[in-house]
Amino acid sequence: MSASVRPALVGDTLVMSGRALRLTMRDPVTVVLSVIFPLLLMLLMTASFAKIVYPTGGYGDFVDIGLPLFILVGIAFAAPMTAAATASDLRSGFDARIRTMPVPTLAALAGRLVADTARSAVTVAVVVVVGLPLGFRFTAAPWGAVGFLLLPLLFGLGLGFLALLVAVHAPDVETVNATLNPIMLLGMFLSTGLVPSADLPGWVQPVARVNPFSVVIEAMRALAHGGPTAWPVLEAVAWSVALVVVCGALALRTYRRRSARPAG
Amino acid sequence: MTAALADATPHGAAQSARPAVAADAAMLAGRHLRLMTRRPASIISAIVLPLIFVLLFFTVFGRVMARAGIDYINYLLPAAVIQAVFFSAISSAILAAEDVVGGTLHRLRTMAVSRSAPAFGLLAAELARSVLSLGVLLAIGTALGFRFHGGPWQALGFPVVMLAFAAALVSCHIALGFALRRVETVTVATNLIYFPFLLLSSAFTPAASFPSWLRPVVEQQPVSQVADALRALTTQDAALARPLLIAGAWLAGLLLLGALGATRAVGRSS
Repeated sequence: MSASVRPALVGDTLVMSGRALRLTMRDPVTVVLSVIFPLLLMLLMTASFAKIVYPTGGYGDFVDIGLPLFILVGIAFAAPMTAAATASDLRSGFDARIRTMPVPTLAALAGRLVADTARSAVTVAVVVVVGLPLGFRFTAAPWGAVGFLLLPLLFGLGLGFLALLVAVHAPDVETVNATLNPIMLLGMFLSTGLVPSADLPGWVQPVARVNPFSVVIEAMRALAHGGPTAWPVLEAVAWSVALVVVCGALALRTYRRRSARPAG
Repeated sequence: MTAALADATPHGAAQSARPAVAADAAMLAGRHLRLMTRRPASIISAIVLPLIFVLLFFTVFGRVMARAGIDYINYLLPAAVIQAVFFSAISSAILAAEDVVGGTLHRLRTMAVSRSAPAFGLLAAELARSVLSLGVLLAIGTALGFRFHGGPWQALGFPVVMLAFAAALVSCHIALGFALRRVETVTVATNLIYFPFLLLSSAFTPAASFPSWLRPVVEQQPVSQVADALRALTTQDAALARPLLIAGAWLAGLLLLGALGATRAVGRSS
C-alpha cells in the first residue's frame, strides 16, 4: 500500500521524459530548428562563405572547421522552444495537477531536461552524419571523438537552463524567443565559429575569446582534430556547469514558487 | 447596371453597402499597424533584427571580404534591405494565418467590406513596416560607411526597387498565410523559403564564391536579381537598364502570383 504512494523519482522521471519527448517530436517548429535548420545553415553557409573565409581551402575545410558551430546552432535555437513548453506546463495547470498526485515535485522538470538532452543528441548525430561526407574528420584519438559528441550535450543543458530562466519569467513563447534569439545570435556570431580569431576586428577578438560559444567550439575542435585538449575542455565544462548551476538555481526558485501557486 | 441599381435604391444605403477597397484597406492597414506596435516580437523583427544582422555580418565578415577586394558595407546593405523585406513578408504570412484562424477574415466577409481589402490592408501595413526598416538600415549603414555613389535619381530608385520587391514578396506570403492557415506550418514554410533564397543568392557573397555547379542557380534566382538591381543603383556609372528590367520582370511575375494566390485563398477560406 505504502509502496504505491511513495514517489519513485526514477520511474516517474522516465514517464515524464517520454511525455516531453513525444511533445517535442510533435512540435514541428522544434523539430525543424533542431534538425533541418542546422543542416540547412551548414550547407548554405558553406556554399556561400567557404571561399571567402578560406580562399585557399576547399568547401570541405569550412565544414571541418565550422561543424561545431552548426551543432551549437541547432541546440541553441531549439532551446527557447522547449523551455517555453516547460514554462507553459506551469501556466496550463499541468504541474498543479501533477502536484496533487504522488509524484516527486521535480519529476516533470527532470523529464523535460532528459528530453532536452535527447533533442541535443539528435542534433549532434544528424549534423555529424551529414558533415562526414562533406569534409568533417575526426583526426584525434577515439576518446576525443566521444568527448566531441558529449560536450555539446552538457553545454546544451546549460543553454536549456538559461532558456528556462527566461521562460519562467516571460508571458509567452514569442517573448521567450524575442529575448533569447538576439543573445544566441550574438553568442554565435561574435565567436571563432565561422571566422578565425585573427580575421575578426580587433575589438571583437577579446570578446570572441571569452564567449562561451567560442570556448565550447574551440574545445570541440581540439577534441576532433587533436592538439592540447585539457585546458580548452576544462574551460568549456566550467562554462557549461556555471550556466547549469547559476541559471538552474535561479530558474528553479521561480519554477518552484510558480508550481506551488499555479494561478499566478 | 451598377448605376441603375444605385438609382433605384436610396442614395445613402447604396453608398454604405458598396465596398470601397481603398478605404477598407486603409482601415485594416491601420488595424495591423496598431497590432504590430503592441507586439514586442514585431518591433524587434522590424527594427532590431535587421540592425543586428547588418552589424554582425559587417563585423564578422568585413575583414575577410576586404581581403577578397570587396567594400563590404556597400555590398552588404542591399542584402540587409532584402533581409528586412523577408522579415516583413514572414510577419505578413503569420498575421494572415492568424486572421484566418482567429476568424477575423470570416467576420470581415460577413460585412460590407471589399473582398480584396484584407490582403491589400495587410500589404499596406507591411510596406509601411518595410519603409521603417529601410530608414533604420540606411541610418546605420551610412554610419558604417555606406554611400550612394550614383546620382540622386539612382539613389531614389533604391527605395522604389525595395518597395516593389516588398510588394511582390509580401503578397506571395499573404497568399501563403491565407492558404496554410496554421501558424506553426506557416513559420516552417516561410523559413524554408527564406533561408535558401537569401543564402543561395549573391546577396551576402558574390556568386563567384559558390561551387561552380551551383553558380547558375545562384546568379539567376530572383533574390540575386533584386540584389544586383539594388547594387547597380548604389554604384557610379553602372549599367542600369539590364538589372532593372530583369528584376522588374521577376517582381511583376511574383506580384501576379501573389495576387492570384491570395484571391484564391481568401475565396476558399470560409
